[in-house]
Amino acid sequence: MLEGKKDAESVVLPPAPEDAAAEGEAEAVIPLSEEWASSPLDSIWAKAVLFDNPSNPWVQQLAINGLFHWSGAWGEATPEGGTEIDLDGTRTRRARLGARLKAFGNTEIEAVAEFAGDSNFNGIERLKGTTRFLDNAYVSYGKMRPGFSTEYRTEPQRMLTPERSFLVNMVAPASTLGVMVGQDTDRWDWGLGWFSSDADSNLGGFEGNGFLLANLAYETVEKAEGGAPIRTRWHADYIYNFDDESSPAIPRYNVAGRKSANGKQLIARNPAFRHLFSTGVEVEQGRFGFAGDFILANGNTNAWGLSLTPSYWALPGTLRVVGRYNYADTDDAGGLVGGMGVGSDPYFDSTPVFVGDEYHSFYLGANLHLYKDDLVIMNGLEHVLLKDEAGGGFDTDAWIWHSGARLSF
Amino acid sequence: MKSLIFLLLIARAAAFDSAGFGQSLNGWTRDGSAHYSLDGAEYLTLRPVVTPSEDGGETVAVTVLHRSNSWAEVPFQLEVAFAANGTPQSFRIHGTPRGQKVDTGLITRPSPPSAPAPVEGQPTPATPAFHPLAEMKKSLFESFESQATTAAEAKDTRKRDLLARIYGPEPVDPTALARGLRYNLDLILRQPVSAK
Repeated sequence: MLEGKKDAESVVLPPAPEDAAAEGEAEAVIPLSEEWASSPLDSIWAKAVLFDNPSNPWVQQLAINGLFHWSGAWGEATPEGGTEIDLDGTRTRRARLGARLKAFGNTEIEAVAEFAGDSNFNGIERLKGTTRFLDNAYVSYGKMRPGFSTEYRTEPQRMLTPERSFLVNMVAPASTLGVMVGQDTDRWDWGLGWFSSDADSNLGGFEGNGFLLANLAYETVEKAEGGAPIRTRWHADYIYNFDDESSPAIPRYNVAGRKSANGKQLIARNPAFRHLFSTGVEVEQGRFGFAGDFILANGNTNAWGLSLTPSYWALPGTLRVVGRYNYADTDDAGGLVGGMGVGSDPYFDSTPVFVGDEYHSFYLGANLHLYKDDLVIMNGLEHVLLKDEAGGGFDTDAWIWHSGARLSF
Repeated sequence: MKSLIFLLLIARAAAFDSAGFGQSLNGWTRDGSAHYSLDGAEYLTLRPVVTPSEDGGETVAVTVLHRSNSWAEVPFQLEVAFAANGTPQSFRIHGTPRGQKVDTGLITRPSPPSAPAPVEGQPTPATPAFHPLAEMKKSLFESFESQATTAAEAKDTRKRDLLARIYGPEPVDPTALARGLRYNLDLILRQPVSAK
């Protein structure tokens, strides 16, 4: 019936909804918007979603996802009293293809295959299910990356630097089979999980007693006076490794028996950690971003350090300037182990490998976003100082130019 | 008897006919949208979200997208609240073109003007015509068009990647947007929203 034909007098007028006035007056604190302007390639990227129907009771979404990450580094490392080490190289750092399925209204299944790297690296990157219950609680199961420290938790599609920092790559746990339960509330997030120690580039199995992971995070959004709101996230992560020195998962690599590029020092045993702890804060306000993280690792080697990663959108959405300072220290001679350039992650590529007892890295780079966060060109310059005073005295310094490109969908 | 009818009136709940609404927009496609064009401009309407309210009425919210160029769509939300007897109670349009907030707020049903007191010795003046819906639509679109025009001239506050910068911001056309929204509003009002 057309309302216009009704007699206006006969209609009972209810009072205007009370929230109408409140909505207009009280300006709620709006979190920093991740909103992007429309871009000409939107329709191409939209094709990655094969099926999307939130009202379907069985399958709500099916999408394919992929990541291609190419990286190159040019530079040389100069050990004291030794010959220079060439760090030039390019790598297909990541080549991933996978699928994401949302089903039953509460479950998301991710399967990702990795095609880059050697046989220790390529395989099934993850096969993970997450089921949500009671509004904000979840249980995750399958092969997945344990959430430890800001950098390691960040998906490589969203990383600001070409590589994770030295200390994270040295201590991070492998992706293994595990189960996590947790809750994401408005402010507090927590998670508790157990992971197998069987590090395998495919699925792996259950080996040893595994390790426990506990996460706690607190997030706030505060309205700043006369400026954009400030989003702050504090986190603390703890890992207890039951298998200690016999765990192939912590750390993810094995350099025992190798000789270091600085001074050809024999690495007698692989580092092993029983306790890993990380705490840090991420802050975002308008164009500014900052992530600071402190990491402590304790086992047959002790190592600790921090990374400070400020960033600034010089052109919001297009050009982001990123800095990073990474510091790592140890009490043990040759206690720090890691790579430089394209081999920064010893799990991916450990040629050459360096040892030392104090590490500083200064990185300054710029990321050019061609299409949102999904087509990015990264360039930057890194200066590394690795001291080896307690060891053979092969202090090393390096200047490295990084270039990289990342495509994801 | 009168109170019984009144009770019956209250007990009835509004029920919006989403399928009929979709049919009048060329039908819902598999992804839950309807595609149509008006005066050469192309539009999309997403399947409405119908929320029942505690008094037996319901709110129908639809997203109307104007395809402003070959790669960009400008979305707006249109909300129409119905009373339990199917009477439209309020309208609202909101969206963020170019990251700018455009929100008409709730345009509620105006009260009828009180009849002027009859003056002794003179004939009773005719009650002026009162069309609440027409008035609501007028204030809705006046508010919308003025805000949308401001937004269309404002700087984009969203993140823009390199390609978006090269191609420039998508045009925000308040006239075309208002035309699409008005068309949807009229269709929603024409659907038989009545007792279940």
